[in-house]
Parts: sequence; structure tokens; C-alpha cells
Amino acid sequence: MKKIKIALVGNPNSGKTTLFNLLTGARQHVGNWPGVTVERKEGRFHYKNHELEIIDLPGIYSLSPNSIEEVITRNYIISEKPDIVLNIIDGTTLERSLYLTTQLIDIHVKMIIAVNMYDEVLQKKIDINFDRISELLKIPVLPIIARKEIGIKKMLDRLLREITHQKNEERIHINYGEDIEKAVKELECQLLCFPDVSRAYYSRWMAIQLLSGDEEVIKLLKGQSNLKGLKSLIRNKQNQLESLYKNEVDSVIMERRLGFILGIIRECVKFPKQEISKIDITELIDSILLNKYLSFPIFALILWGTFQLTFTVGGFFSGWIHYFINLISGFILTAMSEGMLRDLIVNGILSGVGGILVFLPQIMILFLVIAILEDSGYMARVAFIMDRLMHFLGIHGKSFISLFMGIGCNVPGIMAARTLENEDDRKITVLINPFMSCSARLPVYVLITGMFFKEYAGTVIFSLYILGIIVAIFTAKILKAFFFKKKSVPFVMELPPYRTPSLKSLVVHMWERASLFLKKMGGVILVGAIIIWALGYFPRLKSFSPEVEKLKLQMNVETSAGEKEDIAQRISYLKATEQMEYSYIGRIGKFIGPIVKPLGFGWREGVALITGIVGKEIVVSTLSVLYGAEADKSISFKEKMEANGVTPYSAYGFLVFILLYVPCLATISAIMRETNSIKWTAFSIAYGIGIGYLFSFIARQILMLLL
Amino acid sequence: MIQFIKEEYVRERKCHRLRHGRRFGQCPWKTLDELKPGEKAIIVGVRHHPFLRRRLMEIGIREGKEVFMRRDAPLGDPVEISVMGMNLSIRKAEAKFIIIRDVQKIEGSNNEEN
Repeated sequence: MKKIKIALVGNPNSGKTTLFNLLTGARQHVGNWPGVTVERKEGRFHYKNHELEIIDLPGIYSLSPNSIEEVITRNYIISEKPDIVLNIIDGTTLERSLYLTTQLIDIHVKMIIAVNMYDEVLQKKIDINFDRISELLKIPVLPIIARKEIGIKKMLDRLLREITHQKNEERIHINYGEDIEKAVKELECQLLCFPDVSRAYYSRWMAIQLLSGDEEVIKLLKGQSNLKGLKSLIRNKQNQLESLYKNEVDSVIMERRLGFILGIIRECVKFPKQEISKIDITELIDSILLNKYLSFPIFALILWGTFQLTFTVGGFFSGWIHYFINLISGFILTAMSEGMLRDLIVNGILSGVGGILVFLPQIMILFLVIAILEDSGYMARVAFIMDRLMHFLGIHGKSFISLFMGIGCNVPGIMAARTLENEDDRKITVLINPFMSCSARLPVYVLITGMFFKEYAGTVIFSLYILGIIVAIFTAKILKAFFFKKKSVPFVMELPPYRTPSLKSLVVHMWERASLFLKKMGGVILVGAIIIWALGYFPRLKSFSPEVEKLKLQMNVETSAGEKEDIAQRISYLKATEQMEYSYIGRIGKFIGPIVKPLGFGWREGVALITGIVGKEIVVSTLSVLYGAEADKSISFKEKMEANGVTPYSAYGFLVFILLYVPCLATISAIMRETNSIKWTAFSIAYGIGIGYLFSFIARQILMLLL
Repeated sequence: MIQFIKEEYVRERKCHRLRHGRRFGQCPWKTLDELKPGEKAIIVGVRHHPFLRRRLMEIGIREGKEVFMRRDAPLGDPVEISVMGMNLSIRKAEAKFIIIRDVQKIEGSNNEEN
């Protein structure tokens, strides 16, 4: 039994992914195409004793190599040679979609065409003569309704039959006119001089592409001898044709394609004479959702709802996960004797696992909501209403959702950047997301502002959120100006009709994100958590300070059980403080002490910043351990910090640092995963620390000057 | 300097608009960004641009098709147009590249946006 490779090709919004999810269910493998952030989705399924492997290629409008998605799709088809191409077409936009089909015909692959959304076609009273189209194109054309699972079996049967029955010789050629055809023939002859290339690719297609000045195809020929001769021949032909047509060759070819499509449409498709005066539901919904005055309040409401659902309901489940992790660690604490293994399990592994699992409910809920917004068609409207604002930052309207979710948690926020079609937009959105102040930073703000700013705490926290947004805007501008100044992609986007999402597709989508998070990011977070644990655990401090010994003596003398317990507690807290100071992490903290000195805080804050890399909520516990807040309650936490030279100014500086530097391990691994580049991840970390240091310094200086 | 290479149109219809922009002559042609919500027109073509022209044609802005301006975005910038039975969002800066003719109001369209 041979495995059959199917490539799914179609326009955006053609229902490609719905069909893919329907066919493969959860048996998907999601990865990245090498070197880029474009998603590569593969899935397997069995049908009638055949094992089918299906790949969901990016949604594109054409195969001309203008964007990464188009290049990827084309390279996949020409070099990995799938057994058959399944071209999905939205039946309501047949004329537009057939353009891609004409290019596929040129590439010369086995294919079948599935006309999706046939229910909407019928509703619009468009009459498509499938037999006639199949006859003209010599390609089977079948109607399907992917969302309702209608016509799928028939399509698959036909697909299997075509793999064995479709013959290359019977394929049609699109006629580009006498002059172009002559030039194509000549080039084809020339291409015979490149035997390895002309054997690997269809020579007519290559000739056409070369004539239209396709750089990517020229790259395929690289390293071949007498390439120069071919190039000059191409130039020659192009000039000849250009002076003949008074137009560029690729424009002429494009127009011929459009003419070919028009011919097919005229012959096979009948549109209703009179526009049916039925109320257009999409138009009705849009007149409310895109209304001048209502659009923003409704969008704000939907955002608020998404936020609440993700972080309140998700937070509820996260709370339970926390609770269970604590139960387990509590159990281990009592069941195991004190030692390294116990400490590793409780403080390294379990806290790492907990740190991964608490994100899971949030990610699942957020992606369920995003999938609903996306599949229903609202997401495109979000981009439509937000574009003016976000265009100013140099990013896409859809980025707004990702950034807004970042306020709840940067990890799902960064993962939400997936919905952006353009690679540069996606990268910028991912890289500025950490500056959106996430909810894990709030405990630190609350602790510090509660101590140092008391009645102004609210204002101070608010100022941090605003500062984060300002830095994000500033960073977006810088990134756009220096790193992503490539041609800005035109913002031409389809606003698809509103559709009810299919439940199966939603669930598959949600599951896929969750498993992706666990598989791809979980490992990084766990390893990171264990490393930070080890840095804090080793080397062991053998002898403790005289103070501990004094307390021990005191405990022996003390008679009442309550007192004894109290002193034992103080001893263990004191030991923890001294151990941390002695450990590698304490030493690193002392080492970076002089570096953070200009910011006005000491090595303890330095250590807290390092442990804070695991997660911002850890900063609070580290600080309280290092200052021995629990061990000695005679003086308050604040007084201890003040005694070590922390002033309200430097406390604010510390908060600014917390806001801007590396958010947490999970965010780092999310950035790594989404940018698919170590370089950009390193940049994000270094930039965050740099900008954090700078702003922290400036903030303190300004405050000292002003107040 | 923007190039306008749609020479065939210029030759055939002797319209200055493509060559000189909006100020020259009494040209019956407009650009898509001038279309108001509730109006429709016929697409003449897309002005030459390194990649925009191809992109727009691929997505469905094609010669001879009827285009209908649905609405402006709430903040004024992208606009929603309807062409070949689908709705597209396009920025005004990009709509400038699309040449249209025969602008007319659609009867019975409720022109809510002023």
C-alpha cells in the first residue's frame, strides 16, 4: 500500500483549513517551513485502504513569487511533487479563484478542483455547469460543502481514481497567443540543454516563467553552464514581445490568463439576471458591526469579553491547577525526607510543570475564541476598523488582538500573532508584545507600590501600563525603520461573508494550539526552571551564621511548643536566606551588584531580577527570602529595603525594569517558537534588558530631579 | 516619479488622467478613492506599480468589472468595496491606483455615511 501525498491549494477564506481539519481531525503535525514563520500543517488519514498524507499549503491568490507564502507553495508543488493537488475554490468567487488554477495548469500537475461553499452558490442562484468546466479544463471539478461535510466522500473517490487514471499527455495548455507561444517553444528547446533541470520541472512552465521574468526560476538554473546565453535569449525575446505588445510580457500573460478564465466563466456559469433582492445577511450584520459609531464600542465589548473569558475563566482553571500542584508538592514534602532530590522535585520540576500547566486553560480558551472570531469572519472586520490606528505603528490591524491579550499574558498574546498573514507584521507584533504589562507582573507592582507609594499606588501602576504601551509603540517604530523596511505589503484583504464556524474545526484548532504549546514550549520552560533552581541550590552552605546557632540554642531552652515552632520557622527562613546568598545565584547577584548600582538598587534586587526570568511572580518570593522578611518580623519589609538603600525613586526604577526586561521563560520560548529564529529571540532578550536598564535609569533620574 | 505605463489606454482613449494625474483636462475617469459610499463604477485598470498592480488584479480588481463602494472604515481609512461578488478592504492610498469610469449612484441605496 503506497502512501498518497495530497497538496491542498487554494485562496485564503476558501475553506481550505476547514476541509483539512475535517479530513485529518487531530492527526495533525504542525511545524514551520524552514527558515520562516509560515506554518506548515500536515495530516494523515485513511480512506478505503489507502493511507493519505495531506498538506495544508498557505492560502494564496496566485503562484507568482511575490510573497513568502506563494514561494513556499510553489516550491512545494514543483520540488516535492505531491501525487495530486487538490485545488479548493470558493464557488461564490469562481472567477477570481480560477486564476490560481490557471497557474497550476501551467505547472502541469495532477489535480482535481473542489468547488467549496456550494450551498452559498445555490443560494445566490449561480448556475455552474460542472461537466462543461471539467471538459474544458480536462480536470474533474466537483462541488463540496466542507462545513457541512457534503460531497467529501465523492471527492475522495474521484481523487483516488485520478491519481492512477489522469494522464499527463491529456493535460491542456493555456494558449498565450501565437507570438508568446513561439517564444515559449524556443525557450523550451533551449532548456533541453539543461537536462537535470528540465527533467525535474515541466519545461513549458519554466519557459513561461522565464519569459515573465521570474527570478525564482532563474535561481533554479543557477550553477548551470551557458546560463548567460539563455539569459540573453530571454532578454531578447522579452524585448521583442514588449515592443510588439507595447506592454510587459508578464502583464500580457496575465491578461491572457484572465481572458481564458473569462471564456470559461461565460461558457459554464450563469449568473441570475436580476440581482436577487433577498436581504444580504452579511451586509446587515456589517451595517451594525462596521457602523461609524457602533463599531468601536462593539469591538471593545468583544475584546472585554474575550479578555474576561480567557483570564477569569481560564484563571479559575489555572487556580485549580495551582491547587493540585501544591497538593502534590505538599504530599512530597511530607513523604520524602529532606534532601536534594526532594528539593529538585518540589522547587525545580513541580514548579516548572506548574509554570507550564497554568498557561494551558488560558491558551485553550483564547484560541477557541480566536478561532470563532476568525472562522466567523469578524477578525477581518477587526483589521478593517483598526487598520488606521495600527498602520500608524507600521503593523496590521489584527495585531491589536495579540497586543491586547498580552495585557493578560504575553504567551497567548504572542501565539495569537499567528493570525497575521504577513511575516514582518507577525514578527513586529511578537517582538513588541512583551512590553504589554502582563498580569504576572502585577503582584510585584502591588508589593512595591504598597510599600513605597501607598495612596498613589494606583496611579503608579497605571503609569507603568502606559509606559509599557509607549515603549511598545516606540519599539515598533524602530523595528519598522531599521529591520523591516522592505516594501510594505498592500493592505488588500477580503472581508468574507459571515459564516457559522464548524464545531469540529474549532475544537481541532484549539487542541492543536494547546498541544503545540505543551510540546514545543513546555520543554524549554521546564529546563529553564530546573537550571534556575540548580543555580539557587548549589553550592550548599555547610555552616550557617552564628545567629542560626543562637536561635537553635534558644529553641532548646524554650519550653512551650508554640514558641519552639515559631523559632524553628525562623531558623528555616534564616537558613533559606543565607543559602540563597551563598548559592551561585546569590553570587551572580553580587557580581551584577555594581552594574545595577547606578539604578539605585542593590544585589538583592539583582538576584530577584534573575529569578524573575522564570516568572515575574517569583520576584516577590525571592525578595522576601533575601530580605528575610519572614524570619525577622521586628522590622518591616519596607524598612529593610530602605536600610539597603532603596528609595521610592529607585523602587520606581525597579518596577520600570520589571516592566520592560525579559517577561518570563514561557514568553521567551513563545518568542523563539513564533519567530522561528534564535537571532530574534536573543535580540528580544538583549533589547528588553537594555531598554529596561536605560528606562529604569532615566526614570529614577527624572523623578529625583522633579520631586 | 510615478510611472504610468498603461499606454494602451492612453493611446486609445486619449485621456490625460493616466499621464498627468488629476489636474489635467476634463477627464471622465476617476480613481477609486474618489468613489463615495453608495456609488458604483466600472474598473478601467490599475495604474502601473511594481507589485501592487499584479496583486490587485490577482485578488479581483480586473478591467471591466463593476465596483461598488460599500463604506468607509469608522476612522476613515480603509474602505470597503465590492467587486465580482466579494467584499474587499483597501486603503485609500492603494485605491488611488485603480482607475474607474462611469460613476453612478446606486438607486435605493441608503446612504448613511455622509
